[in-house]
Amino acid sequence: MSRTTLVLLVTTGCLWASIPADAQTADVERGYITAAADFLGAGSGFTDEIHPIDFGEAATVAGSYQVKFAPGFAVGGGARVWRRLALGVEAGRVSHGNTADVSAQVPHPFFFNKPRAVTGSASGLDRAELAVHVIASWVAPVADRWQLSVGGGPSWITVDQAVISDVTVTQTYPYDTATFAGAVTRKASKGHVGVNAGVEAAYLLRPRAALAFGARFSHAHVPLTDTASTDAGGLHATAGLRLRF
Amino acid sequence: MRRFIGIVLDVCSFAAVSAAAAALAQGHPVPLASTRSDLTALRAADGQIDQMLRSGDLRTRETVRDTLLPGRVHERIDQYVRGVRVVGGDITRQTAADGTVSIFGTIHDVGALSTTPGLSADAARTAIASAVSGEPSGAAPELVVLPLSDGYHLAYFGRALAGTDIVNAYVDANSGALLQQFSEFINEVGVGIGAYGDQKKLSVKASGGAFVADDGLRPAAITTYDMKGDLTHTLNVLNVVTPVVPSDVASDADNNWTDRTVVDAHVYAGWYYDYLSKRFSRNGLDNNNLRMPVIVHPVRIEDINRQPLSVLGQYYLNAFSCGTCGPNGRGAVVFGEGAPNGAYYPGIDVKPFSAALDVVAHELTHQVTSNTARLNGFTFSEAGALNEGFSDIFGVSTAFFFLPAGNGPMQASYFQGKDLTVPSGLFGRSMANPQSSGDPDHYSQRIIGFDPHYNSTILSHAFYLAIEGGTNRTSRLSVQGVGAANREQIEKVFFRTLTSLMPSSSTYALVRGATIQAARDLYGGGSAAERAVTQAWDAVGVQDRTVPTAAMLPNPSPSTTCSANLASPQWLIGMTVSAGNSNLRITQWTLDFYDHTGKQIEHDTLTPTNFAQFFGSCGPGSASLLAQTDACSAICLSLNGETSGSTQASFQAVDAAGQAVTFATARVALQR
Repeated sequence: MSRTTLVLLVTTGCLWASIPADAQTADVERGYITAAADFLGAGSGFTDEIHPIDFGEAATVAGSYQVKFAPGFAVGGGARVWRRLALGVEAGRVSHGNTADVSAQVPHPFFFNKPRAVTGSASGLDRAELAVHVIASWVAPVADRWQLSVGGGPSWITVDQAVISDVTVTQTYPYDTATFAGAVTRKASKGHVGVNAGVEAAYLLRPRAALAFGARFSHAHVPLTDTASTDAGGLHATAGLRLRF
Repeated sequence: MRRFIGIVLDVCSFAAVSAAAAALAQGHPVPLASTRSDLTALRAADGQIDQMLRSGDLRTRETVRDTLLPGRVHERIDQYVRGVRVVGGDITRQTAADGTVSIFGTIHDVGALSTTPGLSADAARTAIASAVSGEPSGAAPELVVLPLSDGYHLAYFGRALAGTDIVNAYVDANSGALLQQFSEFINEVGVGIGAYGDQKKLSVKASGGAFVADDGLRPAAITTYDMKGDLTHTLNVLNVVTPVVPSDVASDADNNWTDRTVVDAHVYAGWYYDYLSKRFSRNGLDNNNLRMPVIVHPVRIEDINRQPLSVLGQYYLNAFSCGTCGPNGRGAVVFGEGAPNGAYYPGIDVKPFSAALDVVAHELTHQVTSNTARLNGFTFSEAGALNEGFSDIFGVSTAFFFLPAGNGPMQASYFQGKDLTVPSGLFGRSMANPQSSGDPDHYSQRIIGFDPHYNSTILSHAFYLAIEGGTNRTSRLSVQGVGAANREQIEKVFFRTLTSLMPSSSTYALVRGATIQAARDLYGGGSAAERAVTQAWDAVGVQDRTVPTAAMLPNPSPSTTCSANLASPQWLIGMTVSAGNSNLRITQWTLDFYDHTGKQIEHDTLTPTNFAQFFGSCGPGSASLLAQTDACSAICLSLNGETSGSTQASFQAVDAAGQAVTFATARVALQR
């Protein structure tokens, strides 16, 4: 889902807020739980440069990682703590297989300081983000069936990412050139504190059930490995069911 | 589980299959993976394994206690068909006090495969060795069932020693055809330190938890043998009396090589292979990736002061090549131990002879020569000097190919053997200025019958002049070289000459013509390369011969041992007959003897047959000589008891045009 789609979705929800009310009420609930589909828009990529030992010498392997749109799910809940102020927690997980452009300087098997340049692409670099958001929100009924909330707070975002640890090459004697054959990967997992902010529109189907549509921006800068860090989070769109108490 | 039981029944029923069934059968593997997550399946599999163990279709290979979980036991169980092991048919079973915990493995339904082999185990052992071009090694081959992509084969599995590689192979149990093979070794790249403290990479193999100096990355097997100072074993290996054994191959425990002699020898031999490949597109010493045995540590350095001069000169302060020696009888190079830190020469550190890249390449070039021009000439011929000269040329050229130019250690220069000593350049020969190292820079300074290394600098100096240009110090003739940036041209001219144009009886005059022809072949008539080569030969005084000549080695020393049929004193005389610009056929020759007053005391007339008999030391071995080549002889003479006098040889011949020609040696004095 593109960012444009997310904006349309949120805009549509806001427009629906102006539909005349019927018998339902959109008063602020005392508490709620939500289960929703979660879509994270494509994020900014990151780069990495490592120096594994190949043929008795340090290689240079540089990866330029892409971070694509990632689907997932989110669950959460909260309670009204004062007038229209609610405090909630939301946990979500999104994942996707990403790719990386790889360029490497692979040492020569016979000579020092005569690296061979290879380039290629590594795919299937699975990335998953597990985020826990604490959200303080201000909730306002905007029509009989519509409720709008705006809020934000701190987040803890963990990134599980397949990162390139070396490359494999095809080469034949005299080994003065080599071609990229593939990437050797390993799992890296790190978490970091971040922030979130977003809006949510709820359409009451029944007094205790509503459809919830949200747009949330979250961000954390996660030091994934000793040599690479990545921006986690981004613009999320959620759509799901809310049970109200 | 039902499928597993069915397969087990199939396996059990194989015993009833006739032994006459096919040696290749279709079938399929059945993977097993049962744990307590499915107790029913686990119990069924467990029961069937017990049943097969009782019937002999499965046999327990080992049972070990779990070192991490008390009470757990692990069995490894192999599958057999009528007593023949199935390769890859094996199971692991983990048990606890309360029963089986897990089962993993594969059982093969091998179909109607006969388990009666057509070959005996002894025949299979021979077939395995033959299939991998090696020698039988290890225990008797094992009869097995081998699953391959096309079905199940009855095969023998055994081991052979191929060079220094240990090869495991499966051959068909009926035909002996090779089905599969794999090396015990795994290619690796190690790191080591050379004699000058420089870090190098070594292409080696991993074997048995250690690393051996056997190059698995280059097309030719380059193996460095560490004789560990055992001179007797070294001699036996060189003389092909004793085969090398795997423990002779130089090894290192952690692939961080610390034996600097081994490091330099192994690395530089590989670089020489690379030089031949990259510069001349040549596949090793024989252009067919001949194995390259390199031998180091033939003696122990701590014994240097107890060795006779012969051993000192050959195995400490020397490196040498032998074209018919070594592990396969097809050549080996041996590098002397040196004499470090003044051990022999005060104030001089003589490095191990593998420390100098140009020396290693020099010795290996002798192997190229022995596989091409075969310039293993008699002492009195020029072929020996040419042999050494070409080795110097490509020794130095290899250094220029890999090292920066300069006069310091680990730098390329025109001083062959510069890095053998500290201070540098105390051994070896200068190609740029041969007189500076006491060697000739002009053909007129050659000494017939002298050390071929000495006479070789006429050739290597011509090579130098053709590249760098300059003025010959003796002739004062100048040469316009092609320039260092174009050294490749002259290297290719000389390499083409050596490997394609030169016969074994080559002379300086012939090489002149051959190099000029090679320059024309490669770069065209009138090219800079042809001009440079021609001027270089002019400068060092080597010209085409126009007329036939003959020469006796002057001032021969008297010998008392060269013939039992002659009166003493006797003289062993080196004599050379050189054809001019035409082929030559000797029709008659004479030997005249004079007493100390000059009076003739004997006149012997000899035939062409006699010529072929006497002049077999170099040349054609007949009375017919190729233009520009020599025939050589060492003739034992006597003055019938006279203690002084002189002798002279005269020759009658016809040239290619049928014209009669006569020529003679100078009269040579014979003094007791």
